[in-house]
Amino acid sequence: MASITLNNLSKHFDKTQVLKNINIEMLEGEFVVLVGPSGCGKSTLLRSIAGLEQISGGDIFIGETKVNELAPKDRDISMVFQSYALYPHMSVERNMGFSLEVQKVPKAQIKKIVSEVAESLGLSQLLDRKPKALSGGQRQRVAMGRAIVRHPKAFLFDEPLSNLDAQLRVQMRLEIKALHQRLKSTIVYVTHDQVEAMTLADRIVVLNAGVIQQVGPPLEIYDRPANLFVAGFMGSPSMNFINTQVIMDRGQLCLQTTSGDKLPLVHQYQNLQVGMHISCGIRPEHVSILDSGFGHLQGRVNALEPTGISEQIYCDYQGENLCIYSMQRSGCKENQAIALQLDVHKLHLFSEQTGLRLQQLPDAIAEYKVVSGE
Amino acid sequence: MNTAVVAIKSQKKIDFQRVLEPYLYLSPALIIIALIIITPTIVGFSYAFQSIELLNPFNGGWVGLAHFKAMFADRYFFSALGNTLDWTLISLFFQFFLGLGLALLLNRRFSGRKLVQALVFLPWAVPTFLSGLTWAWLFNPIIGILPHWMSSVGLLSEPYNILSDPQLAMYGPIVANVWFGIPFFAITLLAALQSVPSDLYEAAAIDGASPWQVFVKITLPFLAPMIAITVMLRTIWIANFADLIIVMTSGGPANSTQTLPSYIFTTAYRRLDFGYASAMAVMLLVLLLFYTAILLKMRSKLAKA
Ligand SMILES: Nc1ncnc2c1ncn2[C@@H]1O[C@H](COP(=O)(O)OP(=O)(O)OP(=O)(O)O)[C@@H](O)[C@H]1O
Ligand SMILES: [Mg+2]
Repeated sequence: MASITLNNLSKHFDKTQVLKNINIEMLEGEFVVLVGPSGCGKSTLLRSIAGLEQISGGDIFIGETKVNELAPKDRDISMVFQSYALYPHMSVERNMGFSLEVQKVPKAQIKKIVSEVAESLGLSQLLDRKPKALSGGQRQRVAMGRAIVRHPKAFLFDEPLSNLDAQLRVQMRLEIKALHQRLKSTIVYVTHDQVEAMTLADRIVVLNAGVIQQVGPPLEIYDRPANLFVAGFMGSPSMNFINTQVIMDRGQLCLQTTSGDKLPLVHQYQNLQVGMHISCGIRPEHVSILDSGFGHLQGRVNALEPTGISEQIYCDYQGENLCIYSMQRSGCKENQAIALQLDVHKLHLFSEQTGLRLQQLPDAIAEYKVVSGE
Repeated sequence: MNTAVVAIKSQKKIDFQRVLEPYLYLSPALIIIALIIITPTIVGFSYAFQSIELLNPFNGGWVGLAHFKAMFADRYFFSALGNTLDWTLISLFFQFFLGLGLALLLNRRFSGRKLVQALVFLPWAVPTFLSGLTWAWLFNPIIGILPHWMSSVGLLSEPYNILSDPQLAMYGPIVANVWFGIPFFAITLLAALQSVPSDLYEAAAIDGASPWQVFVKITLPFLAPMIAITVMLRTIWIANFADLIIVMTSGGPANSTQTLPSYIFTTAYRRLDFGYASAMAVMLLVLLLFYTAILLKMRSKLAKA
């Protein structure tokens, strides 16, 4: 077990800069998930830690050791590839024991270690098979087994579940979580699956275009996204944004939409000034449909997506598509005019100019507690 | 009742069609193969049991196994057989290992790699006749430089033509053949090397395998099927390959470079004894078939293991 520290890490291929000034400190035993859109540099970051890519600047520490110049094998890490990269000509047993085999560990000892790990992953029956005779989920487990056998300082996973079907993915997700709790090892895990990120991570690192957008525990990232990108990227269905301006209305600060609707601000925010242009974010689950009255906004239903357990309603407001997520069945029809109520305690304010979040002031949080306690 | 009978009949018709149809589509290829491969083979076989000497045209007709009996009493036949073995094994050994080494070098990334690849494959494109002549000249101390080099590094006591030394003559065509055959192995093995998925090498790098372990435990198993098939093909090819020998030494001096194919060639086109030449050709075919059968058996056993 060891911590992993990245200091000002940067990487470019020829002229294209893929990673810019990456600074992360991953604690010992921490489960860190890297998320970001396709091509943002997640794999490159992971491969840099593994030593499969030469970095262009900065430092990588594993534990106390600076590993910039160390070969992959000397970094004492294991990697699970998206393609699994199992050796096709070797049995499951040899695949799993390969790292020990090349270190010339005695055969009997390899057999013992491999069979223990295989037992814990439910692979005992499959040890004699070749990878091509395994199902996707079994291959995935062999790849994990191969990583575990080495007893590395840290595990690196690159989208290990993306080749599996939805059901198997849920199962393997739980197994990986159990594995982490059992081994208490440092894990860096790349995914672009929201749910995987939220459920597995101790901390999430959101990357975009090679730049870290936010680092934090899953719920903090969900509840307090640091900028417009994180707010839009994390969460499914994703957050709604409404263009507004700050106004003073009868002694109360309000956000006024372009069509003149007003959203009262019940909290205090840092750096908020009258006249500022604000992109106001609200998560779909914090918008509800009123049976009567006018609500905050009035929209028109574009499309309905019932999933059984819930319903997503897309409606048009000021030419923008607003999503409403509801556990109740609304019974709305397409083209129906509806009144929308926003939970004004859950507004996210972003400066349109910088894209950054306006932080809610602490006393406002206290007030919020009083309000919600009513 | 009636309809059932009709159904059975038409069923039979359909079966018949189904069996016949593929052969109809194949027939152009089958006819060509029959004309240009099977017919000459059968004619050649039949020559092996006849007396066909152009210098002795009235002595024709079937002679049974007489040619084969003569072959077992023929001292030159056995010396040619031994030479064929030397020629094939030594050429194959160096062609294979040098070709493999070259393929491994060309599989690395370096600037100008495309150009080097193209140059390396050049010997393959030179007509054998031309390369045979060139090598013969290179070994000639009057116009060639090789004998002088060999004597200065102490391989030869003085610069003379090894092609005229019965002890060493065989190495002349072998060197030419190795030079000529390396590109074949380099091309095929390079193609096989490039088909190994790169993430396996990355996985092995993380698993801590040394370069030698990576080569033995990952690269070689991937190359094995290709190695088996190319070695088999090349053995047959080299064993049958007489052009370089004919051009460089004509089997001499004193038959010291006579291999079976060159002996067959000389028998047929210098002594004009087609019957005996065909009999030896049949013998060579049988030996090569035997070798191929053994190799294929070994391969299927290896594949199972
Ligand atoms: N060998 C390379 N040479 C040049 N550019 C590369 C190379 N490898 C990756 N890139 C570029 O670096 C960027 C980041 O790639 P990377 O594979 O890290 O993305 P990713 O976040 O893992 O994406 P995905 O989610 O699709 O796997 C991409 O724009 C890609 O085109
Ligand atoms: Mg990737």
